[in-house]
Amino acid sequence: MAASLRARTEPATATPEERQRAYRRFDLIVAVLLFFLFMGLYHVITILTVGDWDFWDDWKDSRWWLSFTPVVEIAMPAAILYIFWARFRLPFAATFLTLSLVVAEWINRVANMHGWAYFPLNFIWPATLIPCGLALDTTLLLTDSLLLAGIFGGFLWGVLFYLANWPLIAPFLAPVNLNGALMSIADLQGFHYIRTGTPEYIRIINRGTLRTFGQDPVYLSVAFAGFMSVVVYMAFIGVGWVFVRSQFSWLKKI
Amino acid sequence: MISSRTTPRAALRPALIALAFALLLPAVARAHGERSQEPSLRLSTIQWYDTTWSSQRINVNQELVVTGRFHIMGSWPLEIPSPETLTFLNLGVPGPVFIRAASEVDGVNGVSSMALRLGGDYAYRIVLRGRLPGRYHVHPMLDVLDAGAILGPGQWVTVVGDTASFNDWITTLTGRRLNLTSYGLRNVVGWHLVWIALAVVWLAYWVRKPLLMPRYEAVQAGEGDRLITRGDRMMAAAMLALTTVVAIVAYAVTNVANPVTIPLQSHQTKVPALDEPPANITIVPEQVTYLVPGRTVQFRLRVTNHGAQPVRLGEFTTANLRFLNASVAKPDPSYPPDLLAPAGLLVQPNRPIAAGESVEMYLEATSPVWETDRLTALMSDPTSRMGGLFMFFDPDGKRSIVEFSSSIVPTFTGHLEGEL
Repeated sequence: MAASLRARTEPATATPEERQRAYRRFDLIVAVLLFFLFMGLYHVITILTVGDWDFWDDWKDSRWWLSFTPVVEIAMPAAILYIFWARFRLPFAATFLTLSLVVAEWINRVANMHGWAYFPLNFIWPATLIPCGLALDTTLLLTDSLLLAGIFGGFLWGVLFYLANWPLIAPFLAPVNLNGALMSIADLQGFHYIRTGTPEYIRIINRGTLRTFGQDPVYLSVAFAGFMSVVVYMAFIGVGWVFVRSQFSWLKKI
Repeated sequence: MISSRTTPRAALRPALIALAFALLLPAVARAHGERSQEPSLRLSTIQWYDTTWSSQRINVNQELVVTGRFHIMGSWPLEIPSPETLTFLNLGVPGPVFIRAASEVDGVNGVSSMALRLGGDYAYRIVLRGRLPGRYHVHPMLDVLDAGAILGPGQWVTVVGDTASFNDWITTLTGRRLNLTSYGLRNVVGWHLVWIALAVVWLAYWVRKPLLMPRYEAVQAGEGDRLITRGDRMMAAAMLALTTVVAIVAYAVTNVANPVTIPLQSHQTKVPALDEPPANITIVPEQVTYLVPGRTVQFRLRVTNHGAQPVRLGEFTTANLRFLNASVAKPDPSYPPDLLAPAGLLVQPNRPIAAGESVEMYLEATSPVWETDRLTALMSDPTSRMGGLFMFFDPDGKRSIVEFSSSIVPTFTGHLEGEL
């Protein structure tokens, strides 16, 4: 009994191979835990900020959805990206996060909004941010600079959100006539599939004066999203920096 | 040694746990919280009347039509944002168990948000189609900007049939016919899978290498730059190019496949109230009390008939509750019985009010629903007021509706002094 309580005198891993195997197990455990952690955190942030713009087809407009979503959603990837890069030189944080988000969103939409609240899935599908994450990660690796990654990758983040999600939303923007009112299919879905807590007037869509610059506000929205994504990226790189300075003492102890 | 024999004490434990669960688990929700709305919202804002449901049992895909009228109180409480800004005719149901095929207010398409006039009466019509089998409480409802939903009366409607048989076919302006229940979903899922596959490729490229500890040690040793290889950069360049090309090509292909698209539409309009002749009857409240022990609202009113015909008081309605004077108005069998006061409306004097006559009337509206619908909670509202509609009928059956609003005082001791 007393022998088993004595401190070990030999290392836990005797050979480099054993050490590598231990590292891989550690990688696997951390990766799985982080995936679920990010699913929860990033999804909650998305629900609390983007919310209805991502929940419903008839909120996915050419102004607020396109500009607001990428600008808000780049915050957490920027902070995590800094941590992964500064401490591990790993350039996949944004992709990892956006993948975890889309998995969490589909689970929520299928189990909750479709399974419990009966909304058809073609009305409640989530947008994808994966191409934005890929662009941010790869520009970081290619430029080897957090600043340049922010400028080029951050701008691409905002622009790619529109390009990648246009194929998803466009079929729902075909025009229909409902008793004399011109509507898109997405609007019609919102009218048909009753939401007691979401009256028509509560939708924040296409409000503003961007159209005074031209007939279609999309391109201005996208350019604005790209520019603001760069700004938010820079701010949240700072958050990552603060986190690394304050929180990584525990890893040194390991 | 542990005995396998079950002792009475051991048997009691699961029974107690089961009892605790039975007591703690909520009962089945029978409606959706209409009784939890503040009394002032229900008594003093919108009065619903003439509500009908075309059926109480429909098949999947079959239509259900809800019609009726509502009166926007002219004495709308100052503390509640008014519907003169924006409202939306909605439906209080547990989710999209029906689809709303059409709706209108005074003939104006109900897809719009609407500005309504205080003191106005409006007729509405909502056409639904059964989607999911079940038994549902169906209310007409007005959403008022910044005030929230104000529910009309609810009726139980049963939908029967097969969920899978539900369809929602529409035709676009470009002539394409499609089923809204599943339209576009395959395209959405397909694109998500494409992007998920690309993400997995990028992550797999990195996960196959040692990740955390060796890299952390290298970075700490100042050898972080050595961790990025030429192969990594080539992979990154390829992924960036692939991502951009896929996005641009997808965008272009989508534009070709969907040549006609429009922005999301937001409709807002102003709806004129029904053009009805004003009621030639005035009501001046002298005293209104709520008799707590009797669950009775007592009115002492001065009623003046300015019209050319005698009239009789037939009904008082407020917060979707109907109090009928049995000698004048007959109950509508299709109206939800829980919203009809069994004791009706006591009217003294219960006789016609002659043309030009002014009479003091005493009324009693007695019903347990004042308590069960939590309307007596108005005593704890910052504004204790009672509103509603009085309905008078002339010998030809013509109805005159008079809005009523008054402060109300609780009484715990007895009937109004000087009862007629």
